[in-house]
Amino acid sequence: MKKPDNKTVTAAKIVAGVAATFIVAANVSGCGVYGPPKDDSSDSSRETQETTQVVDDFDPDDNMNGDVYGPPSG
Amino acid sequence: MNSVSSDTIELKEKHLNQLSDYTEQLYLKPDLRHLFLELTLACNERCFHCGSNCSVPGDNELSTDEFKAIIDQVKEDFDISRIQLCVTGGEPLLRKDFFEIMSYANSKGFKWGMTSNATLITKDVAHKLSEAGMGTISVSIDGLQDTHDKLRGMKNAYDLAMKGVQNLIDENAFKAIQITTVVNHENVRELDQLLEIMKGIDIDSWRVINIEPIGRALLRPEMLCTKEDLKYMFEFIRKARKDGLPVEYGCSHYLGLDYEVEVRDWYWLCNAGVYTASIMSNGDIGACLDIERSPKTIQGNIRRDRLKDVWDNRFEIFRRNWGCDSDKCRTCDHIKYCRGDAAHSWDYENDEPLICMKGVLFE
Repeated sequence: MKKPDNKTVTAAKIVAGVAATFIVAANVSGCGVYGPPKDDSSDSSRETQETTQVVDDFDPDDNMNGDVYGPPSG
Repeated sequence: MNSVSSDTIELKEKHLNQLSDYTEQLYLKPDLRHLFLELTLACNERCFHCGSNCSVPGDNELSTDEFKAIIDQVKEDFDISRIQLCVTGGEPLLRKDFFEIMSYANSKGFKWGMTSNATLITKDVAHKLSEAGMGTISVSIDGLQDTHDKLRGMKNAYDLAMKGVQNLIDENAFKAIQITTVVNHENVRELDQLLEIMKGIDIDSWRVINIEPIGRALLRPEMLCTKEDLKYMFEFIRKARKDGLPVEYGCSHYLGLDYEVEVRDWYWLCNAGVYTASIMSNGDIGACLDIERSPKTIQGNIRRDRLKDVWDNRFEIFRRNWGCDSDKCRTCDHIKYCRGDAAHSWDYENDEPLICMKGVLFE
């Protein structure tokens, strides 16, 4: 699987509980579902961290989910 | 099961409240973002869980010219820069006019993606998909080789599908190539092995979703996920994402405060009728294609109705909190966030959800 690209994750941007997931995502900006992945992630970006970060810039209009069984958004 | 901090829970509640307010506005002013085109009900596989009961072409399927007319109509009436066409079936590639229709859509400026079993995606087909402007694709892989072939009712289906995926990757032309796995009681314990396989394929993401009690799956109730299967699946996804892998749950259900935005990058919102519409192979207009097809849920037919008219003036059944119709949902603390959960797993006869993650992921 490709590493998540540097495109910003969703509007949620919340690091919730499992801190490592979103710290990694913040570094490598989420998975490639919403666009073509870039090939510039480094190994250091995959390191997990213990600190929980909570980011509060949620935009409900940007809460775009891929549809149930459809193709990923492009 | 891991739990999240109280600060995070509080923030999620804040976001879900924001989303709830936003959704009330969305009901009044929906925004078409996904238009599904069900090209055919014909399929060369016989998946036991098929939500649309696909096998042979449906009655009175739309013709080539009718699909082109739909494309023209949508371009005339909507801002197509905001819309992705989602091509599906059955197996869409079984239509002999597939490339004629989709090249036409591409020539009119539409973004499009498709779902496919990929068994027909040779190198030549992958190239044609690129030339026809396909942007994204999701391919179904429902288990290890023997399991996949058995569940999908076709010998060599797994090998053909994996070759199809590799042909797509080799074409090096698409924005996103995704594999989707529908988890059931039989294949759930294959997730770890599947993960190792997925790691070795250059796909953009792996979508892992649970089987839904719809379509042909109802004939095999023993295959539906137990609570333990679901917990296993969600923890599997959470751990994979913690490890930095692009594994995600789909948009299927409200997951409660512990799991929202943990196994996918967004908060629960059912797209049906607010972001998503569908044109079925016989011209019926609906919301999500996995919603049972009945006079209640079908909103019109493209052969007599203009899509924009239907989009603007119908879909009222979906543009509301249908949880309020249910005795069970009405008294639940989460109704404001869940809104009756998914339209495709709502029991329209008895007004209650067929699947609810309460009692599985939250109390």
